[in-house]
Parts: sequence; C-alpha cells; structure tokens
Amino acid sequence: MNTREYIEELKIHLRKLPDDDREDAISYYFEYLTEAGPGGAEEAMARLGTPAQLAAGIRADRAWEHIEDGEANLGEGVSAVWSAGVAAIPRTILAVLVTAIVIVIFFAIIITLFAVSVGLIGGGIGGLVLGAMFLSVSIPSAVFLFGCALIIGAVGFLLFRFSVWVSKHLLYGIAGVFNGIRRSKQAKIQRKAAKQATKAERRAS
Amino acid sequence: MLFQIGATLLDACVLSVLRKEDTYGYILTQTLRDTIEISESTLYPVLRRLQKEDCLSAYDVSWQGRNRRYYTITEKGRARASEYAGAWTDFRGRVDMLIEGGLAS
Repeated sequence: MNTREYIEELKIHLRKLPDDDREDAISYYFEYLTEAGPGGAEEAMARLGTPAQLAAGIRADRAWEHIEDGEANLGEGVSAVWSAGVAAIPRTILAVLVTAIVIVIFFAIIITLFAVSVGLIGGGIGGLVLGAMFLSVSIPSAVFLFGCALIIGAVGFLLFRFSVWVSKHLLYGIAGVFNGIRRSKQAKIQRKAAKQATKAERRAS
Repeated sequence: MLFQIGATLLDACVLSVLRKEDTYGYILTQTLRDTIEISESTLYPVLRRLQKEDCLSAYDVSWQGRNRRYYTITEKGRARASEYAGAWTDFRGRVDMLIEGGLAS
C-alpha cells in the first residue's frame, strides 16, 4: 500500500467525523507520510497500523475530546469505542469469528428448511389417513381432506427438494471459500520460499 | 523502555522541543522518538490538545509544492514549559534521592 492508498482508506474510515476534523487528521497524516519519503512511509505505515486501526484511534480521541468539552454524544462515543474494539481484534480472529457465525446461520437456515418441509409432508400424509377415515362418514369431506392433504404434501415435497438444493450449494460455497483460503496460504508460503531462494542465490553469487 | 511517559511529561517534552524552534509534525515526532519511545500516532492528539489550550499555534509553509504545518509555542506555552521544567527538576531530584538513598533523607 502506498501513501495515497493508505490515506484514501483512512478517509473512508473517518467518513463519520465532521468534515473539518477529518480534513485536519488527513492533512496531518498525509504530510507525515510524505515527509517520511517512500521508504520511511512504508515503515511508518507499518507502525501506524492499518488505516482502520489508525482511524479507530483518531475517532476515539475525538469522542474523548467531546466528553472533555462537555458536549458528549453517546452515539458517537459508542460507535468510536465499537470500531476501536473491532479494529483491535486481529484480522485472522475476526475472519474466523465471522466465518463461524456465517456457518452457524447457514446451518440454522438449512435445518429450519428441512424441518418445515418434513413437517408439511408429514401433515400431508396425516391428512390422507384422516381422509381415508372419513370415507365411510362423508365422501365430500373425505375428498376435501384428500385435496388439502395432497396440496400440503406437494408443497412440503417441493420445499424438501429446495432444501436439498440450497444445502448442496451452501456446502459447496463454504468448501470453496476454505479452498480459496488454503490456496492463498499455499501461494503465500510459495512466494516466501521463492524469495528466500533468490536471496540465497544472491548471497551465493 | 521500562518507564511509561504520561500525558503531562509528554506535553513537557513537546513544549520544550518547540521552545527551541518551530518545526513540523514529522520532525517533531522523529526528534522525540530519538529519546523516548512513542508511536507515530501519539503526537497528533497531543498537538491538537495543546493548540486548543492555546499553548501552541500552527502555520502552514509551502515547501516543494506541498504544505508543511509548523507548530510554534505561544506565550502561555512558554510559561507552561518553564513550569513543567521546574516541576520535573524537583521530581527528578526526589526520585533520585529515593533510588540512590533509600530511606536516608
């Protein structure tokens, strides 16, 4: 990430600040990174943390200034503390957390879909049995029950097919994401190995 | 570094550096970083606060097509800097006595 990209991202993370506060912070850090020069800027950016982390710090400072001025704004304070907290969680942990939550939600949806479809099919079968029992009592009632049971059963069957389709695609999707993560990790390791190899070659020559 | 630099001591350091001459954020940070361990994002809120308290003021200087924001110490800042300097000498002396002399006074 170069200085311009870093500053652009910082701007995005500071969008909730009043315009003059945002401009003040942006111009300070833009000047700072520019003065550091290309090499120094890279080191400085590494020490400043991600733009999200730096922005969280700036927003927390602003919220604190407001509290000291006696113009505390609860919403601003809570939102600053919240984003500071999220920024403080290492990226990997955040990713694992989000993935876990998403997987749990997916499974909950799948299980609900199956439960509802099985319930509907069961209801349809029950309706058929009830209709059969009514055959000797009243033919029209029995036919009505058969009709309802068939509709309910058909809806349940369709929903069941849909649940199978959804769960298959979700599982493929999740597997795909994990594969992607593994591949990018492998690529990273390979890049690292290649770098070390070139370094070793340079040393040898 | 073993010892923490508190807000007041940091104010004292910033004001003392600016008492010598005006400078801009990057140089100020590097000057302090030569001596004490502070992160690159420490000074921004400090400079803002000292400006709000009228201890510092800022002016922009055009340099190679861009802006450098110079910070300069105000009269109030100078007064506070010498107050801090006196308090620091006193504090340092007493801590020295404790560390070197223990209970003896």
